[in-house]
Amino acid sequence: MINGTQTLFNWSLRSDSKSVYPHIVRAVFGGFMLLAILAAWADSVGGMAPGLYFFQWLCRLNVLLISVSGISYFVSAVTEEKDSGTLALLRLAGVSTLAIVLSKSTSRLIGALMLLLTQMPFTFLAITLGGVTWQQIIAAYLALAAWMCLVANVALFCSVRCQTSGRAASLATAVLLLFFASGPILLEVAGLKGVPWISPRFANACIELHTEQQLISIVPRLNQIFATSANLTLLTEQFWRGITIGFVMFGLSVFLFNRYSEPAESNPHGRSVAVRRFTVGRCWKLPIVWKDFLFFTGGKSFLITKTIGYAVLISGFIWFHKLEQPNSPDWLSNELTRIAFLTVALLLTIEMLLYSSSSLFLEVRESAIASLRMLPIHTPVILLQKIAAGIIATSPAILTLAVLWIYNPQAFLESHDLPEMVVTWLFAISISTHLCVLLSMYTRWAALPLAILLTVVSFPCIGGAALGLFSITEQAAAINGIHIGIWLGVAVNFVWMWLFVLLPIEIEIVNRWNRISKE
Amino acid sequence: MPPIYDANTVPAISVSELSHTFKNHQALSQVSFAVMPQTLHGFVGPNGAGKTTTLKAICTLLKPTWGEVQVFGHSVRSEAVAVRERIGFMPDHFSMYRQMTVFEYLDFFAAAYGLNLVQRDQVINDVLTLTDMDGRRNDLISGLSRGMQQRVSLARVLVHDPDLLLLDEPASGLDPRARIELMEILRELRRMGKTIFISSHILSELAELCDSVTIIDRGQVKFSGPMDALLNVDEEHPRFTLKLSQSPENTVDLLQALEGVVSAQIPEYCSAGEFDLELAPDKDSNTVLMSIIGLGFPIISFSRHRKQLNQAFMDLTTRGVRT
Repeated sequence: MINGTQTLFNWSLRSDSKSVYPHIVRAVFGGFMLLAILAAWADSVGGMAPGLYFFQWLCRLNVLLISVSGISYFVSAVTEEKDSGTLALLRLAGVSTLAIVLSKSTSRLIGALMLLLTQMPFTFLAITLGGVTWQQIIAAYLALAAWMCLVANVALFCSVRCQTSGRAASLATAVLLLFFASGPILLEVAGLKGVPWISPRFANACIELHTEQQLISIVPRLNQIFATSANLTLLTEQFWRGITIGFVMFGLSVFLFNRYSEPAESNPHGRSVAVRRFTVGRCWKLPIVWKDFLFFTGGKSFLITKTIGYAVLISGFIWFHKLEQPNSPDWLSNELTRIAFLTVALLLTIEMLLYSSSSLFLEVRESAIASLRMLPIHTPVILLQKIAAGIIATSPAILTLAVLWIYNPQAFLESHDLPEMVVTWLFAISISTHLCVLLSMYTRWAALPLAILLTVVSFPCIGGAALGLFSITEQAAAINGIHIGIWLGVAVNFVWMWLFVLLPIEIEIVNRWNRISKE
Repeated sequence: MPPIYDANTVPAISVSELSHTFKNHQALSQVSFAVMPQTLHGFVGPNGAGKTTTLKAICTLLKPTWGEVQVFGHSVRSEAVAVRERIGFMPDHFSMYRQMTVFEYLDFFAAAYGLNLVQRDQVINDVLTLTDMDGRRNDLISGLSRGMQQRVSLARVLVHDPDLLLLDEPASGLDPRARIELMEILRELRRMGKTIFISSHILSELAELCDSVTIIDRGQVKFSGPMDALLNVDEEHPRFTLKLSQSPENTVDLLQALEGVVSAQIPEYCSAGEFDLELAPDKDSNTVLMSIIGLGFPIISFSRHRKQLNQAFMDLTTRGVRT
């Protein structure tokens, strides 16, 4: 077993170190830390503890990176073998289940630890800058290590459980989102203790679950570390729970490996012809829209499921409002309308990012780009049809947003920061989806996390320039007696962003598409 | 190298002085050949010889560094759309949407070529009948065998009724039965008036199937012309193979004594009743055949000795892998 583990481990480590992606992530991480140093330096002018401020930045960055690695890097540990059909060959070579799981996950853990190692000099810098103690640094790194153990092994389990990297990444993303969202949701539900509909036992169970979630989560633990400088406990429950869950997930991965390593049986007849005639039907006049909508975004049945899902979500908000204010004549209060709007907008963002990261990647995976390029349809038209398919797929979310707006426009108009939020969201989603599409033609499943990282890095620069341009346009309009200065500013910003940010990415997408078709 | 270009006919493919470089690697060097319409043209070469690069240049996917490629008189550089309308390209790897059924897959490509519903129904029925996949139209592509997927891929190439088919290794990975059936389909397509340009490693089948052939090695054309010109041997004494159903012991002596026969012998590693004859250069082979019939031998066949395509290929190409 040792030989098999060692050979596979060496091979995995070597192929990982040859891959460009981890090096890019490390370089991006380095850039992040330089930004953090600049921020700390700027902060030190005001007399704050710059070391602590810098260290807080560093830790939050680590949390983001570890979580993102979970849904991209760790999640493909076993599925990459399934994707390339080499899992059976490893089994034939006599490599045991434990050896496969151990070697594939350990090589990735070492890769992630390399990322933490690059921080060492910067950590010393935090102490030099002042405001942070050795105990805080050790406690924070122990908490991060436990978090990494948990995330890596949950991702490993997803990798064992799912047949493809895409499904594993989706499952891991859903688990992580559910984990982070469960904290505030449980707290809100627990807050309804006095409502007659809610049983006190249920409310107490929610409070207990929330406490358990907080004891596992990295965020409250880091806040605790940042707030305490003296008598800090190094190994808390968060550490032990993280390690324990990690080991349990590892054990489950080994235990269930054989059960889920068999390839999924394909049904040669698919679903029945009658059902398929309804769910798929004949190809539309815009064939790429038809193909992408039905085969890449889930099709009609998933569209109906999503529509029902959004209806249930809004019904939940209405139910919540009726519980809080039984005598209210409205369906939703202003505040709940805004919260519902933001929730749906968040789900829409996730949908858009997922579609943009998979649309061209699936064409690359199916080796279909050469066949598509041979069609008498120009590349930009193909890409536009793909966008149209994405719009149809996201139509339940868009419609839900429109219904919420039409139902209570006052709820949005009375919020002064809404126009800024909408414009910022449009800017961020435009950049991230463009980056997602482009990166999906270079990397396998890393496009989404990498695009989010790049958007986070680039947005302050782009946003700063946008705000300056916005202000100049607004003032120039005011001087010239133009009253629609705000909208003029928005329009100028969109033109500017399209011309200097989005258009170059779009050109590169088309170029990359053409290059792949020649390979 | 005997030319096959006919000045009165526009060639289906005309490649002249085609060169292409990938970074520092010269993939093609001054490649020139022509393929006449309604013929089946084989494109043969060792691995890495430049076959796929040439195919991609012909089907407009690759802009060559130097040289000119024309398809039915249209330049692949300046008239790519016109070229694409007249060609169907089947790459060497499967590019299929495996979660679609056979019908949905063909319906998608037919719609992409702008066919309306009635036309799509008609053409899909036709291509499925031609490829003998009519019974599997509602099957998922992921559930089909490799040979069937190859047929679907061929059917996809045919949906817009192209004049020229470019097939890159269509028989690779197929079992003997699937290969033979594929070759039958290609013969049928040629009878229907299609021009077929086929790149393949299976030389024995190409020799039977193709009208003309181009052999490429290390980015350079070693031979291009009719298959007969490649396989017929230009010798001082024309050699013929005679097959008899029964042969007495003194057959060699009797044959050697015939007028116009220079030598007669039993070749090595042959079946019973087979003889090699060398004729005098000025002697008509029909006269010799009449003389053999006159001896009362039960003749199965009497044919001009031809090289095997394998032998011609080995003679023309260089040993070893291109670096």
